[in-house]
Formats: sequence, C-alpha cells, structure tokens
Amino acid sequence: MDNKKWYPYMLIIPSIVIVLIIAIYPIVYAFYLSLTDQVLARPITNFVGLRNYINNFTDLQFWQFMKTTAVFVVASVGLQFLIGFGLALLLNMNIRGKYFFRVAMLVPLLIPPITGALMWKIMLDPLTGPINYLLNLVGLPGRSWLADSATALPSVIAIDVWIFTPFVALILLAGLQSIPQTMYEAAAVDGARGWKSFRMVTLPMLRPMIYLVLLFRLAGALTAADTIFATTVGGPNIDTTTLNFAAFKNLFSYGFMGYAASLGITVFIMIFVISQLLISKTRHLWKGA
Amino acid sequence: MRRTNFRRISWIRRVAPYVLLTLWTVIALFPIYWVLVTSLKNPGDVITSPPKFFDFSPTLDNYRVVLGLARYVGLGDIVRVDFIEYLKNSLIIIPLAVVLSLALGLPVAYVMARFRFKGRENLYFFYISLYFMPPILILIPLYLVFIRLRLYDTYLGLILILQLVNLPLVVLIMRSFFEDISPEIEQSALVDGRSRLGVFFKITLPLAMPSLMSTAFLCTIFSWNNFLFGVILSRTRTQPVTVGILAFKSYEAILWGQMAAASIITALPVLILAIFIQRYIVRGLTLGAVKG
Repeated sequence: MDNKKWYPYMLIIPSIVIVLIIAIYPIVYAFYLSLTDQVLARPITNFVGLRNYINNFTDLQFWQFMKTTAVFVVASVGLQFLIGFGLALLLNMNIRGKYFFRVAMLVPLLIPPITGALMWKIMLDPLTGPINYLLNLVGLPGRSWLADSATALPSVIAIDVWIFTPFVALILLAGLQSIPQTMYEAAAVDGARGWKSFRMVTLPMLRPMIYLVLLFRLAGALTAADTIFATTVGGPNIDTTTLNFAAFKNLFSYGFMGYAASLGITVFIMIFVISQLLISKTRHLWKGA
Repeated sequence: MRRTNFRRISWIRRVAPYVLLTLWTVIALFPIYWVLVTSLKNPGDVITSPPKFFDFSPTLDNYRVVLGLARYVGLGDIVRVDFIEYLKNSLIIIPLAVVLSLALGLPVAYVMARFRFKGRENLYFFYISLYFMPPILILIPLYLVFIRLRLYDTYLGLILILQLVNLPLVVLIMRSFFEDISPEIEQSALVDGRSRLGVFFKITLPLAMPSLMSTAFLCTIFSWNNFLFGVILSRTRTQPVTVGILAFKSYEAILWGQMAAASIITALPVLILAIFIQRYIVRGLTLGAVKG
C-alpha cells in the first residue's frame, strides 16, 4: 500500500490528543491526587505520600466497602452468568418464538440503567409498589426492600442482574451458534451425548466467550454506580456502598478529592489485574477480526 | 409403566424451555409494563395502596406535563421539574458527540484495518483498555480540570468527555467492519488513478455505510444512557435526561406519575434505535470481538 510511513500516524494523532486530554492526563492526575489530602472546600492542599492508602488499610469502613464490593461483584456477576448461560442454552434450542424471547430479553439491557433502576424503585415501594402487593397476595410479608439493612444489598444486586443478564445471554448465545454442528456429530460418533457432549464440546469451544463475558461484567460490576445512586444512594448507612460508589460519593457529596482518588485507584488496580488475567485468554478474539 | 414415565419426561423436556423463557420474559418486561401503567395514571391513582393494576382511567396528563405542554395541577403544585430542558440538552449534546467520535475514530479504524505500522496492536489494546477504565477515577481529576478550563457545565465539556465511551466503540467496531470489506476493491480503484482519500470516500465509505450507521446508533445509545459524566460534570444548564430524571425522585410519590412518564420517554429512543441495529448488537457490545 502507501509506502509513506507517516501516513497512518497522521490519521491517528487527532484522536490520541483527545484521549490524552480526557483519559491519560486525568489518570495520572488522579494518581497524584491520591497522594494528597485535597478537599474541595479547603484552599490548602498537602502532599501526604501514601498516607491515604495506609489509612485505608487500617480503616474499618474501607474494609466494609471491600466486603460490600466482593459480595456485590460475586453475587451479581455469578447470577448473571448462571441465568444468562441458561437462557443462552434455551435460546439455542429449536424453539418456536425464539426471536420474540430474544428481543424481549434485551429491553432491560438497552434502556438507560438509571431509568431501569428508577423503575425498580417504583416497583419496590413498600406501600404503593406491586412487589409487596403480590407477595401479600400469596401470604408473604412485604418489606421496605431498599431501606432495610437486610434486603438493600440483595435488592440492588437483583436490579443489576435484571439489567445485565441479557448481556451474558446474548454473547454466549452468539458463541453457541458459532460452534459448528459437525463437532457435535463427531462427538456423537464417539458416544458423547447430552451432558457429556456439553462438557466435551460446548464448554471448551465456548471458553474464550466465557472469559470475554466475565471480563466485561466484572469490570462493569466493579464500577457500578447508576443503579446504586438511583435506588439506595449507598444506604442504609453504608450497606450498599461499594468501593467505586464510595469514591463517587466522596467526590460528589463531600469533595474529598484525595481520599476519593485513593479509592478510585484501588478499583483501577482491581480491574487492571482482572483484565490482565482475562484479556490474554481472549486475545485471539480481539485480533481474530 | 416405564413407557409412561418416559413419555412424561419427554413432555416436560419439551415444555420446560418455554416455561423458563416465559418466566424470564415476564421478569424482564413486567417493570416496563408497570411503569407504563403508572405513567398513565393520575396522581391519585399512583399512590393508592393496594396498587391499581387495571381499574383506573388512563390519562396522558403526565406526558403533557413532562413535555411542557401543560401545567401540573394537583397535590404538589409548587414542585416542578423542567424535564423538557434536560431533553433539549441531550438532543444537543449527543448528535454532536457522535459526529465528533466518527470524525476522530473513523480514520483510526480505517488505518488499523488497512495499514501495517509499528505499534498497531498496542494502539488496538490501548483503545480496549480505555473502554475498561473506571469512569469515576477519571472524573475525580477531570472535575477540577473542567472547572479550571471553564468546561464545567458546558455542552463542549460533555461532548468531549463522551469521547471516552464513543471513541473506543467507533475505533474497535469500525475496524472489524472495514476488515470485512475486501481491500481488492480499493486496489483496483487506486490503480485507476484515484487518490487514497478519494477511494475512501467514493468506494469504502459507501460500502461501510450500513455498519457506519449502526456504529453511530450504538454510540447514540451509549451516550444517551450515560449518567455519570452528566451528574459530575454539569450542573443546571447542561444536564442530560439521565440526570434530569432523578429530579422527580426527590419528591417521591407525589411526582411518580411524571417520573414514570419521563422513564418511558428516556427508554423509548434507545429501544427504537436498537431495532435498526439488531444484527450488529452483539458485535457492538463486545467492541467487535464477537461477530454475532
């Protein structure tokens, strides 16, 4: 093709400039902020080194955030994966109305997460919402789902599952459909049917897609904010405050920039580790274009 | 005896998928149905306990108020949410943001699909990792930067920050689309003496138009759905719909009819756009990794 070597770079530069301004510079700046005690309303800022991180390490509240994050991410992504995989397998069967089920399933994924979460706020309202009403009909007691310490986190997790399960289902369905029928036929010749063919053919063939889905969803769950903001705002107390949401709250409500940045960097490190583990396993998918 | 047992099992096997899929469809759609119903109720019917499922007289009042066609009269007469302003902001910001993303991202996608150059794969993974950056981490310092540069609460500021989601989408998805177009078609035109730029605009771009449109739609959906950028980087003048809709929440049950109407209004455009890009949704959601 063109032997002018600079040609590609010339076309890349404008986008790189924008990315430097809106992403790379802020990340570096955020790292610097995490080494300071900057507070929005206070004029003086001190450089404090790693003190934010060291404080976090011994701070009970920080470990509470960590625990909430772990529960939220594991439960939310775990359920999305299980239900999503199940739906993908069902939709891959020879079923009438496949198309309808597929489209209907997508709706929660496509509407703004903030809108979806608000819809659930209306649904879960203790007095006027239909959920408690329907529970009462079958003889179960209603609850203040989002205000009760025992049910707030599970409710937020359920809303996240409602929104993102279709993502898992859709991607894994695409993966299932790309497995050549001949592989199953060959396995059947070897006597592998049903569960055995699932283990010998489906799972190994689907593995890269599974990693890909986990990459997207783990990163998504670690940075979840919309659903929490629209429903519990991290409460009651700090029961639904994940690490990422704590960073959000400290920026948005309190202006503790240094502290918020140290929390944000911790989330960043988690995502970095996960993506290092998973991107290498999905590399051929990205490059396979 | 054994035979009937078998028959029962195969009967369950045939029906079970439908039961399970129907169950999930009900779970997926019931909240939408409920909010649609709520949006059609008058304020009195919204807050009844037990809730009314069918037995109310539907009204479009909530939509009229939310879209600024009528004034709200009733319980909370003093409170008013100018939803139409948020709607206007979103409708200004998003098309401009998407156009900018295409202008910046298309050349990168094209170059990555057609040229071999040093650092190409690194650039590719750079855009992927950009997509996985935690937005909050970027927004903490950017809030300070935007205030200093007077980009806080401006359309330009929000258009710029939306590139963070849109650029990776355009670059990664369009690269995979450009690679689907055979380079031979371009080669023959180059031989005919057209310039590289001429070939791109006259031959490649028309061929890529359907995928270009679907990428643009996908960017529109992602931008429309974005909440964090707006809530941190704008205040009253330029807040988008996803932030505006929360204004109803402060008044809890009083404005729930309006909040429901606003929910339907914010959900509808993305659902309509999604209809057009169904074929490409899998590719879009995985940044081009899965063709679907």
